[in-house]
Formats: sequence, C-alpha cells, structure tokens
Amino acid sequence: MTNENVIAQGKTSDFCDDLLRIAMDIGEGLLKNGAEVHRVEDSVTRICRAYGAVHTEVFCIHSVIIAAARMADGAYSSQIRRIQSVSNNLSALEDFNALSRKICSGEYSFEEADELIRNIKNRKPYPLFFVLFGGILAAGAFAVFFGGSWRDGIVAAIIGLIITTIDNLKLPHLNPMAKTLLLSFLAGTLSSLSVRIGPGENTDMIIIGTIMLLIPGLALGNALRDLVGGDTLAGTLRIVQSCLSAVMIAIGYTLALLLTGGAF
Amino acid sequence: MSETVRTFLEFLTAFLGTLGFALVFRVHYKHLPVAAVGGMLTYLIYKLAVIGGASLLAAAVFSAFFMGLFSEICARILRAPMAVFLLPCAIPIVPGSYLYYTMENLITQNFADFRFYLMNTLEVAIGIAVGTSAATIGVSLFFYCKNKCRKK
Repeated sequence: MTNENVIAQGKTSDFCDDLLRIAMDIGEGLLKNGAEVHRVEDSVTRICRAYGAVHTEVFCIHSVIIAAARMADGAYSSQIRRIQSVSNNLSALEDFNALSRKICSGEYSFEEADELIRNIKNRKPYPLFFVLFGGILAAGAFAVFFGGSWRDGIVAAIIGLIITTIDNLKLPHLNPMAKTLLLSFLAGTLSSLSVRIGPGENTDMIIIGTIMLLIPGLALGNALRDLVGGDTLAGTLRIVQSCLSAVMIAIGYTLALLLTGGAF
Repeated sequence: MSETVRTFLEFLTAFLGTLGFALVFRVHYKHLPVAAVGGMLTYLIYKLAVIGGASLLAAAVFSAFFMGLFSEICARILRAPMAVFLLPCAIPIVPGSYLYYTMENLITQNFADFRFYLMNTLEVAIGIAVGTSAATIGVSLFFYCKNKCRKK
C-alpha cells in the first residue's frame, strides 16, 4: 500500500480512525487467543505502517491495548481496547497471525482488509466435540503416564470430560479464579470418591491426570516469553495471574481431599 | 508389568496425552500429528537424559531446548506461530506429579518430602523456561547472522 492510495481515499482523520480500528481488531484477536505481548505490539505497528501511518505508538499488557497513530498530513487517532478474557485457541491465533502477515505484505486494499477481518470473525468455531474428546484423552492418558492402572485412566478420562465440559460453558458472571477453584474442588472430590466407591485404584494418579487440564500452561508459557522478550510488566502480571490460579488449584484439591478423607 | 511394556506405555500415553492437549488448545487439524510427535520426542529426550545420569534440572533444560528448536523449525516450515507447537510439546515434561506431591505433603505436614518435591517442581519449571528461551534466542541469532552474511 503506497501513499498514492491513501491520498485517493482522502487523508482525513476518519481514515486514521478506521485504520487504527482494523489494526486493533487484529491485535485484539491475537491477544485474546493467546499471543505474547511482543507479537501484538509488532502486528499493530506494522499494519498501521503498511497503510501510511508515519508514527505509531502501541502499548499492550495482558488485558488492554493502547495505540495511537499519526498520518503524514497530521491526522491523529488514539484508541484503547480492553480484553476481558484470554482463552486457549491456537487455531484462531494462527488465523489472525496469518491475516496480519497478509495485510502487512500490502497486497490488499484497505476495504479488502476490513472484509478479511470480518470473515475471520464469522468463521465456524472449532468443533466443541473435538475439545471435549481432547479433555478425555489428555486426562486419561496422563493418569496412566504417571503410573496409574487402566482403571485409573478410565476414571480420569470421565472426570476430564466433566471438567472440560464445565470449562467450556459460557459463564460470564463467574470470576475466573472462582471457576478454577470450583473445578479443582469438583475434580478432587470425584477422584477421591471414585476410589472409595470402587472404580478407581489410586487417588493420586487420577488427580495428577486431571490436574494437568487445570494448570494454566498457556498463561505461564506466555508469561515466561514476555519476560524473556523484555516486556517485564506484562510478564509479571501474567506470572502473578498464573501463580494465583495455581494456588486456587491447590486449595480446591486440598479442600476436596480433606472433606472426603481420601489419600490419607 | 515388565519394564519394556511400562516404557512402551509411557511413550504411547505421552503421544495420546499431547494429542489430547493439542485438541484442548484448539490446534489446527493439520498440525495435530506434528504436535503429538513433538511431545513424544520431547519426552524421549528427557527420558534419555535421565537414564544417562543427568540431574532433573539438566534433563529439563535439554528436553526444553530440543522442544524449543523443534517448535521454531516447525513454525518456520508450516508458517504458524511457535506457540502452536511449543505448548502441546511441553505437556509431558510439565511437573504435574511433583506439584501434586508437593501439595499432598504440605497437607500431611510432611515437611521433608514437601521440600524435596517443591525443589523438584521448581527445578523442572526453571529448566523448561531456560531451555526454551535458549532455543528461541539461538534460532533468532542464527537467522540474524545469516541475514547479515547475505547482505554483505
């Protein structure tokens, strides 16, 4: 995209607003689906530059993106996006990343880029059936991996299905920390009870299999990469977040074990 | 259960478990096999390092370094963000069992074991962080040098 094109569209502050909106849409898509902060800041800057912004400033942490852009004629816009929740959705992350690269390559006009973003947002979501099956497979396999019997594996798989199902319910009013606490309490109780009633053999193996589903792997991985990449503030915030959720998991399982008297 | 069967079972479940996590993380279908094989190979490196007499920290660093390289290479070949491969691959060496035993020993007030498992958890976690960071930095340095040479 060259400057002539921008002139053709009228170098107004309206265009600057629209441009920043598109860049922020991509940034939001990346951050929401689990990108590191550096990637978001980089993408927003590049997209603004590709459509003729001469000066851009972007600041991003795990929950907010702040960006400003100035065009060659002095038109200026600044916008803020608040991101409510971050989810594990690596296929959406990949799509947004590919789109960001496409747009930066300058092959698309501004309207086409706008259309592409709308398409990606309306794309068919990842089938829930696959995610639930993943939960079954992950919990069951890891219970056996850490030394459980096949009966432990089956019990862990069933508990894994229950956890993933609840985790994927849309519960907008439930605080994420409370959700983690609730899920780990539920998983702990079910694991312990299954051994008492009969189908399970080792409470610890079943719990280890299901605990893996709750560990905030994505948040912690991103936290470390943010820290190493020099985004200290964003990294610290994410570390604190994932440590808190690890504490919640511990409290949930502890309460469950104390109540049901399993393992001790 | 004999040792061979147990080892075979470990690798099979590492493969299946990584596949499961790739599905939970909603990885694109076309990348699922690569991610699952990556998880199994990462565990293979970890296991080999432990058998070879490496400490937990060293084993974690080695396997995490391999995993970082693997994900960087796959990311470049298959044109996807590195996280798509890195996160599922990391799962088999995540210290989930140590974390559980840390907690269990804390509840039972068994502080000697609590300290032991806490140290192990931290060792592996730090090892993973160091290993993957080293791989990322190594790869970006490699491409930086390559581009420099080409420009000259």
